[in-house]
Amino acid sequence: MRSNKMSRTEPNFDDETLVAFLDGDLPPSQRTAIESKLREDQQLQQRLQRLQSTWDMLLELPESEPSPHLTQSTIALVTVDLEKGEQSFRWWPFPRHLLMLMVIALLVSGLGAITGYALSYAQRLRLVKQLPAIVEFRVLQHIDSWDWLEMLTQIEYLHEAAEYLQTTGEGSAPVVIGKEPLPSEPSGRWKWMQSLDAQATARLHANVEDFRRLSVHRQEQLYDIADRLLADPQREELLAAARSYAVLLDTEGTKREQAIKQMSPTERVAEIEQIIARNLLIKYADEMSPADRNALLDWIERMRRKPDMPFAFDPYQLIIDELVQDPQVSLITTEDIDQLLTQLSPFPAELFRKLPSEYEQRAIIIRWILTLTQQGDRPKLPATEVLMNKFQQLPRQDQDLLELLPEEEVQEYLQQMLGVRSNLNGDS
Amino acid sequence: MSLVDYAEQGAKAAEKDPDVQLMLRVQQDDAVAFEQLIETYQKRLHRVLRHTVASESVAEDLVQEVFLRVWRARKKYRPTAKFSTWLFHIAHNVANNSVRDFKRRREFQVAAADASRSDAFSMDQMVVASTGAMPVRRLDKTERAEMVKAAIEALNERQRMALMLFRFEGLSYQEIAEAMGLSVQAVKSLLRRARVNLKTLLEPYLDAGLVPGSAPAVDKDADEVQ
Repeated sequence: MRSNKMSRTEPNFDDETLVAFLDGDLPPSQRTAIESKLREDQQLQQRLQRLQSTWDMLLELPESEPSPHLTQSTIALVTVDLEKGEQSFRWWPFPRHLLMLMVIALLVSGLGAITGYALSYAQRLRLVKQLPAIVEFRVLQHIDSWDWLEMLTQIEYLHEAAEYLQTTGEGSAPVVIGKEPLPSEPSGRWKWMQSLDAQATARLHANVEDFRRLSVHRQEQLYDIADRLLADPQREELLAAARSYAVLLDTEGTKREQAIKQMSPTERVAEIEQIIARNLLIKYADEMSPADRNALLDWIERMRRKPDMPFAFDPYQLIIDELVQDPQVSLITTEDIDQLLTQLSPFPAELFRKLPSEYEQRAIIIRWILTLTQQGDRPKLPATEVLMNKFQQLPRQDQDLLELLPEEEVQEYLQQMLGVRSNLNGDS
Repeated sequence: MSLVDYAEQGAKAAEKDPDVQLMLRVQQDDAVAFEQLIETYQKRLHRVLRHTVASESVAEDLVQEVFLRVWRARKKYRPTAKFSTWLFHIAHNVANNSVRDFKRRREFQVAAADASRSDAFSMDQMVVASTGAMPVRRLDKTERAEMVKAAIEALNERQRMALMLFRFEGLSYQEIAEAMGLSVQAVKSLLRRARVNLKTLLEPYLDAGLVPGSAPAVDKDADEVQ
């Protein structure tokens, strides 16, 4: 900020003084001085304008929406705290619905004797029975059958894609409740609940609320899946697949998520594989093997030299400009894209082929090229730098005209020129 | 204005504030009033705290922590100012503790350090936009919003808190001073520096569509006010 503290044109009015002026906080003499200067100094007017414009931009800050369960889980948290610290609290003035919430929270927190009195044995049994589905509710809510859960474990690179999405911050995995896994034996579950801290208890409470909003049929379905999961020797693997699936869905937005859930299992697998392919190819841009990097550079060079391809000193931009065109009219054809894919190693080539359209393939190639251009050791294409130096010696109008010519003509022209500045209009 | 004047002004503001009346009911263990206060303030608190910590879930944990403290402190509550001033004073302390914990334990990411998200965002949008799958207008608006978010998160904690309370919560200088335990003059100075920093961060974006990270480094430590 030091560079901004003093104005380039008027050392007396730094930006902070101008803010004070805008806020009406300056003494009259200083205010008058700025007003007077403003009448004649356009740069000062512009600086004031910029302070105001950047201040106005703040109104574009995205709205933040807390979770819809926040009120309930806060009350649950306070209730747990209350129970721990204030045994003499007066219960009777509480309205019935709030009391119910508190009772449920107490039940979930497993706070011994009071909970035992508050709930009947049958209710307690029901909760313990449903607990596997409730604890993993945020993961299992996306699973509609045991078969689908098993299918998920067969999808290649599911975990790798989910892990990548979490590192970029685009997707997040549901929070795990409790430090220890839920015991498979119902007799140990009550003790497990008692061991939860207040935050975990509040999260469990929110899960209880959401789980009980489901239809009885869906509750039973989830309970069956969770129960079976608990007894399955492959439990960790199955749960990890469901968790990764939840991360992928989290990045797709609610509407897309619903659309995916409506698909048949086969369509859904294809859709998931596309999401995985897209994300792993984006990830691969940053960790490309030398062989694939060279294949890409060779391909760019070949595309640059294609007949009819206009001349440009930035071949990367030239190729990107062509890739964003419709494949029907682009100078880079579908065959060219296929040619690149055949030169890549099997892993990225296979992922490319899983993408649903050539548009998406082109988008990923653009991403790769952009990554290449951003890497510190940007590779130079042959002769480009020499030609560029010569080109930059030309008058602006010659540069404009040259960029309309085919590359071969431009190269020939530049080589003939040998540093002699001439008028291209006259030559042509 | 003397301290006595401020105190009188605060007491008058409290008399007119319906939320103070709700808090006085909470003091009498009225759970309905407490639920009403949570409903009224949770979104506002979330907005302020969201820009103090890295993740949504940590922000929500902090909102809960604030209300937990309100509940615990209810018996000691005295209506000497608007309720929001007292609430944001607690929020400020909770946010400070959280940031201090982060620095001590390195368990959480500070939002300001997470600049890579903005880069990744714009790159991805570029790719998506190039496929024609996203309308350009929407991309611009979203990207601008992300730029503003990144700029706010690049301010230091005190500038950020003062800015959020002033610009988004509409608190007066005096109320921010009470919430943050500073003098009115210090708050004004903090806000001016925040505003100048924002200009530095967002100006390149106004000019040429560059991201804030490409602007000169912001002098984050230049607000040591008393």
